[in-house]
Amino acid sequence: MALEIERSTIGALAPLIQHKKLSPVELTEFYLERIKQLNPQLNAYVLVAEERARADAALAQKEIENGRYRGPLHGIPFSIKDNLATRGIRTAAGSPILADWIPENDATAVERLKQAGAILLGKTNMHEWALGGTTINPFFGTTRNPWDTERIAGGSSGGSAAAVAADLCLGSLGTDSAQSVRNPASMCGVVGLKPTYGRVSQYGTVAGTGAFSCNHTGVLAKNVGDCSLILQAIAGHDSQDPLSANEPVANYSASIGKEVKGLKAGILRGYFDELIAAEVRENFAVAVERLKSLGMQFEDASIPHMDLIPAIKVATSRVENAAAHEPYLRTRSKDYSRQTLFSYVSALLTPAATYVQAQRARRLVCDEFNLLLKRFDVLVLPTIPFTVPMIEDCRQGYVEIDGKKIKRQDERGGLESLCCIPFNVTGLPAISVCCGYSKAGTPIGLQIAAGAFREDLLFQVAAAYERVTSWRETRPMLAL
Amino acid sequence: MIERVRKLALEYALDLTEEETASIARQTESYERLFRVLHEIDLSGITPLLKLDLKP
Repeated sequence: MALEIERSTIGALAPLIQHKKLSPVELTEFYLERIKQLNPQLNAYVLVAEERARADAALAQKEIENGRYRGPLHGIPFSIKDNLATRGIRTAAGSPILADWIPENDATAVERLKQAGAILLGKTNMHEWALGGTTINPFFGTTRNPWDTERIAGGSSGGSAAAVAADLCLGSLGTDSAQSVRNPASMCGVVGLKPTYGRVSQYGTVAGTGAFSCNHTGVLAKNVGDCSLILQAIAGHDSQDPLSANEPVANYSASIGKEVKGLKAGILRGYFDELIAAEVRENFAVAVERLKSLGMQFEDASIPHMDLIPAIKVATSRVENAAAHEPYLRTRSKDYSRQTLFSYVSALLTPAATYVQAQRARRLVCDEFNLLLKRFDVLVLPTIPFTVPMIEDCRQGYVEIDGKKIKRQDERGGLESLCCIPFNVTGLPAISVCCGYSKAGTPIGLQIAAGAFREDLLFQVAAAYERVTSWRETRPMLAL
Repeated sequence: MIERVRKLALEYALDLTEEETASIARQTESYERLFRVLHEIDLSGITPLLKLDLKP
């Protein structure tokens, strides 16, 4: 049974659990054992809640035996990024400042997964305070990419993506305020969804792990179908989150398998074009051809003020993050890495007028995207401009693009985030799916975005692409 | 800018070296250059976005 579980998905295993051919206890034990064997080389988990997981699995098994099957997530083991509160389980957000914090409540998204019967295996590693795209964490260690352990897993939800890619869980929750679900999903070859702003409650997300007006609770999964099942469980209004949206939740599974013939897609062009590496460009072009062969129509797309997006994003994030960190900067400044401390101190010097001006420009950009999406059903672009960087290169502060060494970070933030941030500024939903591999054997991501609350369209297009490609059949080779 | 960083370091009791102070100052100046575009375009009459209140 071991091999089938390792390569399997929620969609495949749930019917086995429902019909009592596979027990949640057996499944949980499989993942706990695999974590024991592989986590030392990947550092995907920072905490494994072994006893709790066993107890929850036994309870799920009992419920199912007694005929109380809750649905497709019942008995499914999952992991949670360490900035989403978990009742009774330490939530440190990648920082020693919170290293002793044991929340009294679950984040709403975590609570909803538990209500659906899912089994929490543990907490996954992340970039310190989610402020970066590498998951090179000086306090909790570096998460390594399962496809090549000398390379980064991406970030800030790097532990979640590595855990899903290495079959250390069947799904994970992360957060995304600039790239943080889609970037690691792309780098680890899994599916990563940043839903519409407000679609999933942010109640229980640690303050200061992403600007509140750009942050989203997102999903990392093995395939598009699993991603839709997880979103179904966690989406919807939450009275505990004043930023949560009160819009009806669609039946996402109904989008899987729908044809895409006749859908119009815009290939989003902008300030990131010049950075896109040849290998990424080639794989992206092949992915577009594949979707064209399914009957989708493509043309180039952009908005008049696209170039303002990095400034809007950075001004917004710096001010909102600095406000959240202000008390810790006064009392715990020694418990930040120097790089993170410098970033927050510098952010305190951002003028209030700049923040307000950024929100004016943001409304302009949001209106322009809404107009653009009257012409197109979806927008497509690469998730990351370049292939997965080496850990050592990132430590030295650069990435290699087409043989040239380029500074990884400038005033716009990490270069890896530049294709993702338009959808954090606008709050529009976006998904990343694997669209091939680099010559070095690491995954490359295709990003698809849609209008507000049109996650159903994302699933429709992403699942159609997944059906006609075989990228998912290739798996990372990890030595047990 | 260096003076502003020094003042902040004093207020927050941050133990910064001269080199670190200069580094933060340079970083802040580069952000100011990035933000310049926000002040160079005419956004008068546009209400700042206060909540991403999206509609389908």
